[in-house]
Amino acid sequence: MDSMPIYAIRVKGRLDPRRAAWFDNLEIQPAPNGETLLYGPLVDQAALFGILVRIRDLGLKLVAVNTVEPFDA
Amino acid sequence: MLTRLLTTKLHIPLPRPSLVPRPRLAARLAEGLARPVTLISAPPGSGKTTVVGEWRASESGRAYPLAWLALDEDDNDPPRWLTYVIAALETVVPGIGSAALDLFNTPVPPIPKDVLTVVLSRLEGVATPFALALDDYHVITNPAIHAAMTYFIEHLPPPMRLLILTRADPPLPLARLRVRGHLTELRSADLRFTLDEVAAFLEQAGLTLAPDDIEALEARTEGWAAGLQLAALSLQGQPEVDQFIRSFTGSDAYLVDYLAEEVLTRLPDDVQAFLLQTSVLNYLSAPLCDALTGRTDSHALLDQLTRANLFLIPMDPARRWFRYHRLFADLLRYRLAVTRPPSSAHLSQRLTQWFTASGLTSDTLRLALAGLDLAVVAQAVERSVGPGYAAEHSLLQWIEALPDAVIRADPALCLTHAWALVPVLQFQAAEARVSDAIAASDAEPQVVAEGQIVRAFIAQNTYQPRLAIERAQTALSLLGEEGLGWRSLAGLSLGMGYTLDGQLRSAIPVFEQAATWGQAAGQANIILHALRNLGLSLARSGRLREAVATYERALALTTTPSAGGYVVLVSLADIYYEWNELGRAADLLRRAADLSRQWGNWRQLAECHLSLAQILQAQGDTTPAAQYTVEAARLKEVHHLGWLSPYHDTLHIRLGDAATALRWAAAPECHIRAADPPEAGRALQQLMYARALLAQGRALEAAPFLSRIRGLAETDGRLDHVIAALLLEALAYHQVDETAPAVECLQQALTLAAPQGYVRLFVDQGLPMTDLLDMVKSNAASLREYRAHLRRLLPDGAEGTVTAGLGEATTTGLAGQTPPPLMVPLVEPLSERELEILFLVAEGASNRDIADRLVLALGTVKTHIHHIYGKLGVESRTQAIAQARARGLLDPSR
Repeated sequence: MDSMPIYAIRVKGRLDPRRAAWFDNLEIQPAPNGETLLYGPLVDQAALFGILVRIRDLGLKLVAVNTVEPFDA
Repeated sequence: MLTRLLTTKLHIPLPRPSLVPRPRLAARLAEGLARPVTLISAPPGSGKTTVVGEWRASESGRAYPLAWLALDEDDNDPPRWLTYVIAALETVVPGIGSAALDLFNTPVPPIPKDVLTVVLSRLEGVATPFALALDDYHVITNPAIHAAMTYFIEHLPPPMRLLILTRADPPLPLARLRVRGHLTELRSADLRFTLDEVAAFLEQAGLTLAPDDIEALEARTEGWAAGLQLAALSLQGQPEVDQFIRSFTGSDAYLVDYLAEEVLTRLPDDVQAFLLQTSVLNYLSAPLCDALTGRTDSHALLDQLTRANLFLIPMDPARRWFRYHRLFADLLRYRLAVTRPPSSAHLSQRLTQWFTASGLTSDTLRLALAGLDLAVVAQAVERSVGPGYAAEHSLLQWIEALPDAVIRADPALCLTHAWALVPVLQFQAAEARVSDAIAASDAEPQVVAEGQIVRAFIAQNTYQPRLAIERAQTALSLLGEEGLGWRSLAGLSLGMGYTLDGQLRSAIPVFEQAATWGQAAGQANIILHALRNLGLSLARSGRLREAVATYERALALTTTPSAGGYVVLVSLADIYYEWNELGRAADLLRRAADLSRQWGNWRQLAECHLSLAQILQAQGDTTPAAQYTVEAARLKEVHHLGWLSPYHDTLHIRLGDAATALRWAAAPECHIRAADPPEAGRALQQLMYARALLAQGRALEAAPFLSRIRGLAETDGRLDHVIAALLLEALAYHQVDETAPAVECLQQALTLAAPQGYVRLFVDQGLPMTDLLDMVKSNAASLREYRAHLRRLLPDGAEGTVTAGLGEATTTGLAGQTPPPLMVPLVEPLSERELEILFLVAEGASNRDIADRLVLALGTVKTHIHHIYGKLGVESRTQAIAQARARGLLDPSR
């Protein structure tokens, strides 16, 4: 699974980490400026769009979407 | 297949009593209705629906006829979407949809655009303004529906307004609408509560707060309606208001999580449990909630929740149905998933019973997907389909949303999946599912039989008639006596296999049997198909009278004019035409043409026109005949119909002059050669080719070819082709002055044709047939009479009135008619951006102006204009504008 792109999605507001299951098990981490970072691998673009729709449907504000280069362990 | 309508989707949301009035928004909306389209686009909980509700409560809004449709994910199925749109419109324009809804009585779902054309034509007559509101448009993801909506918007009749409520801007031509001033927009900034409104809202909720606190709340919620409402709920009964506001406004937490926690934890435990349990439902009613929770007081509880403003929205004036505000439902579901394991199988069982009794199958599925027992879904899906289930897009989606392992483990679900895959031509996947079903059931005979029926349909769709026959026979041998629905379906597929293989004699009793079984099982769709195919087989084998009786039986079955009815009308007209009962044939065809026009089925309409042209030509009315032919060609062109039925494609050629047929025969697409072996599936084309050979005087090539075609037709029992081949053979021998064999062939044809009274097969040959008939010396008295009858209908000597299908006489007639110039459709349509630019070009804007207006680089504008020229086939601005006008591209109503 190491070929899956890793995404870092920032939204405004702090999210309950228990909501992770609702975001394809992306990690939910608090970030500076009262933001939340959704972080982790997503299978493809369709999965990414699924997450973005979830964010929209919660009325959350999307701040940024980035891909992250996975570094070798 | 029509889904049962959920009328709750059509109820206009009721204005809620404890709402702070926001007249500025209602006024914006009222003004906005001067424009064709209004878009309310904002995140959930912004109060989109509320704005409409409030406008409805105002004086101007109350009188405005408004049709409402709350969309959900299931509406991505175009037939279902259309059905609901029509049902919604029906609430303001009664009677609008009846014709359009008839389109759905077919095994094949109609094309959305065709249905909308019918709807639009009905709306033309409406004089008073009215609006259609589509709520939650963001759930629509099917491009076919966006395309249909675009078409709808482009053809919106003047008094009609469209209101779109959505969380995301839809992929509709918004830019074009904006440029033309046809769009009103209410966006999140507009819906945001102003400071004054926040103050009024809190006051309304019975909260007296200091100006600083109000400001802090406004800032924290950003004027978001749902956030404010939750905040007000949390504040009610809060002992330390100041402290609450401080901690709330000081927190970064997602405010729904933060506030809902506050609101929920203060509710009694049983109410909390009720909320969580019922959150899985999309639509709630008291009996349904009772069934789900095991309580008996859901009615009172729902009432209490509504009054407490707990995001429970009544959906009908009688308050029988409710739904949670989407945002709140979402929150509850998430909490349910976190705090409670999925319900017990027992509970799911009870629910399924309830749903099955109410027919809300899609909801059952969604329920299951929301975390309930998956095995329950399998049962529900199984119950919602019967034999010959026409695939429903949403059904396929639902099944495919299930984990593969769940489908694979359930034979019935595998088979349902397989059935759903056949109409979308996913044959490999369907075959695989049949194998899964058989494996999962340990090859239980019933499952194997149903699987073989699916496979028989696949074989037929891939032109493997022998395989289709074999599979259908296996199915029949495995099916028990009691499963009549399945037996009739297996019979139908067996008969169709025989037909495809040219085995007419075997097909006839099978179709008869399938119709009988279908009748016993009450499967109207299968009976209609079986009878129609039976009629066709009878007619082809020369049993015309029995065919007529069968078609009449089928017509009696179709109470409402349906697509099946169309096919029967046309088939019946063919026989009356053959009997030279032209008036009767024309009447039937006109009825069929009316139906196709009503449904916007242009292929069928074109075919009707060709058949009518044939009749008029037979009556000697060449000018109107030519008009019908031209109209058919126009329909083919305008609606991009690549082909018609083989019968009508050859008819089209026969209606032309001799040169048309020769061009057709010489064209590279025509792969027929005189040396080919006869083919049952292409007999019409092969006969046509033989005619073309005769027209070129190549009788010596035509005769042996015809003899081979006739040989196969005799083996297969296709009497119409046997007679047609014999007649052409006679003409071929006549052409080379071989009188004896010519007369011999004609004698044979007369003997075969007399008992059933074939006429047009002879008479359509025209003058050469006159000569031939004059040469025959009939012995039997009956045959003599028949011959004399035919002779009377044929032209005398050199100048005849009856135009031959393809002889010397045909070089005049249609050839003299110049068809009116046709507007060739664009090879590639203009993009939205290109249309926008074209519009500005027509207004006289320079490239620089356009670049400024649309905020584009000058180079980009030039590229666009270059593309526009290419697509319109022009070389200058003036030409482009002229072309655009001629095509109606600049029509402001677009």
